[in-house]
Amino acid sequence: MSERPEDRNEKIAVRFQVNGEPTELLVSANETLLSALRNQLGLTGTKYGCGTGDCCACTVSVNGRAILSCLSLAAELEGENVTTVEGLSDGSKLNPVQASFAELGAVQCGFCTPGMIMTINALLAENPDPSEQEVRHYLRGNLCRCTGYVKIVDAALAAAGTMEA
Amino acid sequence: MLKHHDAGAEMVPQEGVHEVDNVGARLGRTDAWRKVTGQEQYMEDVPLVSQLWGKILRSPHPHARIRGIDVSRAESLPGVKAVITFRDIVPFKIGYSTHGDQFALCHDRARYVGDEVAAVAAVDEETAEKALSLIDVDYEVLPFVLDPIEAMKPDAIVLHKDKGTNIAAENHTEFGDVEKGFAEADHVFEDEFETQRQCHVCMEVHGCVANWGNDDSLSVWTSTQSPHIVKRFLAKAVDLPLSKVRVNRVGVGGAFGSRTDLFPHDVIAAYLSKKARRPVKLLFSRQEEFYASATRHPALVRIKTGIKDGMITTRHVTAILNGGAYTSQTGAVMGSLGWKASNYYRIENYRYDGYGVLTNTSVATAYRGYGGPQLGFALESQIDMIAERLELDPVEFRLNNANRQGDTSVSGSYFSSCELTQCIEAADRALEGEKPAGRDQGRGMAIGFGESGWRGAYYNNSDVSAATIKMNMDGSIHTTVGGAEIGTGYDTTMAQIAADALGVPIDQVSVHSGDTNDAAYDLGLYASRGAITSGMAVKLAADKTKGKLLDAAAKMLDTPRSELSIENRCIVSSANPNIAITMAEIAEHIYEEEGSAVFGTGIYDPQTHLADETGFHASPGGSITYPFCAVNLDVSVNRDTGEFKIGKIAVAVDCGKPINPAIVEGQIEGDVFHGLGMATVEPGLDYDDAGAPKYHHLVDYKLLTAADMPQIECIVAESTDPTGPFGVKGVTQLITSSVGAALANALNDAIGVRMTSLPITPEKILQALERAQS
Repeated sequence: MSERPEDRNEKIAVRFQVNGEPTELLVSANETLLSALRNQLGLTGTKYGCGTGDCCACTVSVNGRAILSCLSLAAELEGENVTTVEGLSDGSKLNPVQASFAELGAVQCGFCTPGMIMTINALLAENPDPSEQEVRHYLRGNLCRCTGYVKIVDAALAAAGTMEA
Repeated sequence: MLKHHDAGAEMVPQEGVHEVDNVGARLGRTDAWRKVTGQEQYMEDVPLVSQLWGKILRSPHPHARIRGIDVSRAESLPGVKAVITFRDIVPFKIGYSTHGDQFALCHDRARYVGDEVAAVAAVDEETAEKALSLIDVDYEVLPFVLDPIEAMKPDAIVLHKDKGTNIAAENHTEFGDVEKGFAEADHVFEDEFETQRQCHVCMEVHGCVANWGNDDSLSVWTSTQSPHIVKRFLAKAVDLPLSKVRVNRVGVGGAFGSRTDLFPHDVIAAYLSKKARRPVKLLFSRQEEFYASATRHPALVRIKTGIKDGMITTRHVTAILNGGAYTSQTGAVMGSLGWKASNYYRIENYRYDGYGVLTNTSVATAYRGYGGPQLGFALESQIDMIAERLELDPVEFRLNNANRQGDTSVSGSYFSSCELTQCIEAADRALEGEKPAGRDQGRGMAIGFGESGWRGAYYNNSDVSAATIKMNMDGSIHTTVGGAEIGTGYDTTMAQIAADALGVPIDQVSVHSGDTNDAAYDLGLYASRGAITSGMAVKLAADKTKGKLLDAAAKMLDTPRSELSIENRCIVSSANPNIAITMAEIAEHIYEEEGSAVFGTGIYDPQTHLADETGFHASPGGSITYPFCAVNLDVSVNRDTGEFKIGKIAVAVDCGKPINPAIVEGQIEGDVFHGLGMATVEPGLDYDDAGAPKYHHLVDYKLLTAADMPQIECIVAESTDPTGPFGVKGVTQLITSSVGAALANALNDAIGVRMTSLPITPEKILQALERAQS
């Protein structure tokens, strides 16, 4: 509950699916999806990197497409199906992209990792057998300061292999 | 109950599990599952009940006298819970160790655009931002200086009146006889180079979450490389005993040197929480991250080199570093640049003149390479320039002058291991068969030199790390270390060392780092020291734990201790093959029958020597051992547009024995990324004529993307170093220092123009081509 009394009447109700769960939230008109996920639903796996759509750390999936949650308004997501990094696995078995990130050393500080994994999942949904060039091109918006992208690209290609199988 | 087992019966350990399985293995990281599932908790994810948002009011002027600050309008805004200015805080000067000159909040003067003037805590971010706009500051705008050369002049505007000069640190050191060396040389060359103000651009912004308890204790979650350093100076800044200040473990979203100290935002968050009596989360925006977090030092480096009979005999390096508005680590980075230069090649005479200069720009601090990238670009570019002038092969020229194992450098560093020549040859060979034949294609090499820890980094006489191992009743172990997992694989590396040192399977090892309440005093992660100093501390802790187990087993089994050893997770007797007892059994016995506990603490401070105030004279070494590398790359250039494309980068590193090859490769690849960014697309934080920073967003300040990065080939030229745990040496930083010169050398090879400033852009290449034609 907001501590600012003037806010209470300005909220918009929005109903959507988050990681498969029907979810209803009251959001202010300018509340981003990033803020709603993190601050209202406690889904903190999605990261704030820049707030201006330049780093893709906040990438989530809406109906299977990778979108930037820092530039999306929560109020506009009525009826949509949102998946965050928390929704990719049940915690005991990893999604193939998560598994290859863990196995191949694609994680260092880990801050860009959720956004990277969401973007690669979207890529593999569109193109299950991408070339290295296609992976690199698709990831050109997702910034990472630790890895030089080498093992991230390796992990994407390896995940494509396992998804095919 | 005591159990005796036949060594041949059911106590035979599982196949494949024996004492030295993990060190050297390409294991998955211990933090990977948390990070790939979104569970890792960074500062922004710390959940505290009734948490407030903190925001900092920053100076819009590069230099101004603050005549007054009126916070009354901000304080009366509904939702605002605390507003603070310098009057609310202890006048503690923040800086590098005890050499502070920066108040967490400005007193009567602001010294750069971004300087902290006041701060608020409010119920949400929007209210906090609104409150900032309601703080009235009466500024008297003052003349300012951005350029260090201008700032060094006697009539320059002085930033800190008490210093009387903008030169925060000077270094004038000589070994041998430089004047004589130049006089006797066949050739003397002098060249000048310039590098930009590279930003760390951590993916996680800086900030601090602070909770001032009603019992007057302070708990903070701050993304840091050195939790104990933060604790030590934060306690002073908030005037609490060290026992009342805790730095908690938190995920660190990239550091690269930018998180080695206590910063104003840590102190500000603490005081906001104290005043509001509620937890405060204070995080930078990405814009603040660019203009108000620390950067690399922009540098001018002049190198004068004397050659006799094809050998480098004499060097004189002059460096001017722009330190920004406060001293921070400027003296140390400037000293390190000069010290590194004395260790690159076998030389007889060396002189260093270094200047760290304050200007009205954002504060410069440690950044991957610590003076190395500025130096490496200059020194290794000049090596090729000299080779070209003397018509020597640059690779052979390097090999002829390279350090070798057993050498002592002109400034006294002893190289207990050195595979530099192997690195040069391997990096050269790696591109064989790919020799670019076409017009406008070229190849360039540069070598690198680094440290593995550094004695006296915080003006102390220490390079200490600490670890404690506690064995549980089931034989599994809990390892506590004093550094922090900053993304470099520290926790995993420590787990591998602990597992092998104690003969415990890695899946029974947990590592806890980054919490000052858990570990003993440890200087943290900088200077590529983690694997070595913490690794040795873990090994010592394991040895002590082992000792306890053996003591108890000797008593329990009524066997002389000298006959007992740990093999395959069992305590066995050399005299009696029928004696074997598992670690779990002896541990349980110690807890349940002896009423005792199984633990061991390891404190490690390497046998290194303290440099004097110049940063030199630490012979035989301020660092316990030294890594070396060679970088070789191919480039092709489009003369019409100035654009260039790197084909492949080969990196050969002598980093001792890799504890985990995947982690070492990750560090090498990251090192290339920072070096190549500095060499190409990263403009550096620049200022306009009004003293305002030009870049605030990732669209202006470019980073290399996955689509831009060339192929990287990592070659580990393994050496056996007797000093670190398992022969490990530092691996990060030195490659970052080599990439710029390798690129400049390759471009010269391709199109015959010499680039002497970073970043190298298509525009600069076109200008250079035009100059060459006219």
